[in-house]
Amino acid sequence: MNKHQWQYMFHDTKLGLKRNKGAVMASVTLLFIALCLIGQLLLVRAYITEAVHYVESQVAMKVYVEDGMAQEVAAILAEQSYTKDVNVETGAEMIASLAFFFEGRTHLLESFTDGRVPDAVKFSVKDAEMMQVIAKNLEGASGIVSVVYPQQMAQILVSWIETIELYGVLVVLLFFVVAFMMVYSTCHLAMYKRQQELKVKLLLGMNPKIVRMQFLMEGVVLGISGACIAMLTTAVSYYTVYAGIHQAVPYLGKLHTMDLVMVCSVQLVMGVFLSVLASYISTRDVIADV
Amino acid sequence: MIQMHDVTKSFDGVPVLNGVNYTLSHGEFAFLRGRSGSGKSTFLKLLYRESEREHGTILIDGTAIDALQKFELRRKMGIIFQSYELISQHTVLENVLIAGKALGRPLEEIEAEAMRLLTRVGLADKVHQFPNKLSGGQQQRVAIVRALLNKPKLLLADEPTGNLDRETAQDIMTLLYELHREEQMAMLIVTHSEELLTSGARVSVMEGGHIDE
Repeated sequence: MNKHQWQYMFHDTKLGLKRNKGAVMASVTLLFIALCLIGQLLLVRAYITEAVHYVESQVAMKVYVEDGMAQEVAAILAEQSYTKDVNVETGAEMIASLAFFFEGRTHLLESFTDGRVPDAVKFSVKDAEMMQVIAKNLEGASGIVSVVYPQQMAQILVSWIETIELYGVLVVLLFFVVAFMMVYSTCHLAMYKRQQELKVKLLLGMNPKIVRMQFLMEGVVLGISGACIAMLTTAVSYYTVYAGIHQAVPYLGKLHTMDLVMVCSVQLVMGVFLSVLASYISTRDVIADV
Repeated sequence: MIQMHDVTKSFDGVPVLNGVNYTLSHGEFAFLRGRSGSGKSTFLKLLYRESEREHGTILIDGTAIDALQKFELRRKMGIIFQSYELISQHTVLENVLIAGKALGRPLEEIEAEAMRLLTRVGLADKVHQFPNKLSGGQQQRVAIVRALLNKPKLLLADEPTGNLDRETAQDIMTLLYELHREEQMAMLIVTHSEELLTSGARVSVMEGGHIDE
């Protein structure tokens, strides 16, 4: 391609978008809706991540030990047949994991740090039904101060969380497929109207790669436009809705700026990918036939 | 310019072209006549590879058409279609310039050439109009200018007057003959109408899948 052909391609891309405003609006709107939904799903997931991690970390038996006994007790428990996995949590680590629940209420957290929090050995068991029996056996053993194990409700909650996470991933994938189908249908309809333009250019000797590139570039512009509006909506919801929820219910979750950046990046990449793929598939058959 | 030898083409097992042989010399003006459905358009489509032959060889300007990519082959010729094939969302000038842009020629150069040719065919005042504002004859003139923009050595016209009234058709044929003399190119015109044949021009007849001289 020489420099004139590049110029003509950019010019034709601009002209194509300008003279097909209806199709452009439809494509951008559909992209915006799909990316918005996906962005909100991802934001919610990020928002409750810390709370979910905390709950998951507590669904394990905790054995509080005397000073300096943590590693020894952990090694003994690791050898037991009922143990699935073991790790040591120091008092300082336990307080740090609680910190996000006390945002805005640091005076309450300080009361924890003022007191003594013993080290603990956390371990999960292979058979949850055996937890009560195992706890009873461990209580009173040398080096062990107390044994805590999750009630049935916490285990049910974790089970729900795992199910929701799995379905959450499937829902995002489903949204992605639905978004692609919507954008593809719109691009295909728009392409039907412009088939003649494509066909004429090919019959006049234009390189098919250049013809395709023009329509792919139009796809890129559509993708970026839809993604930008979705990113803006996501940012507004981040600073208004989620910030408001966090103020009212701080222990439910928290979002970091990096979460917003990640979600917006995913929206941008997905937006461009969806529209370019839809443009490519829409033009493929016409280019092959002429 | 064109050398076609023993070319065969069929659709759904029905032979349309059956061992066709044809030649067209450089700078020659010729007609290919035949009734509707005789395979004239198929013959032309094989030349610019909108359709692919099943058997035989075709050379354009000494080069086998298979040796070139489709877009490289089509740059060697100008093509005029029965239905004009103008892009409705492009102005007259934009439609013409597409041919030059396809080859990556500088804009100033193709604009100057386009204006010269549009003036020659009497459409200088219509350059910024869209095709739907033009008559059939005017649209076909735009298509002719587009086909000539890159000064091809070969012009193919598929029923260029098929959608026009008798008087306009005659005007278009006259224009094509004049342009042929001015631009010194080989021209092959496919038509079903006997009335439009120019006296002195070579006429071949397509019948039963063969071409008779």
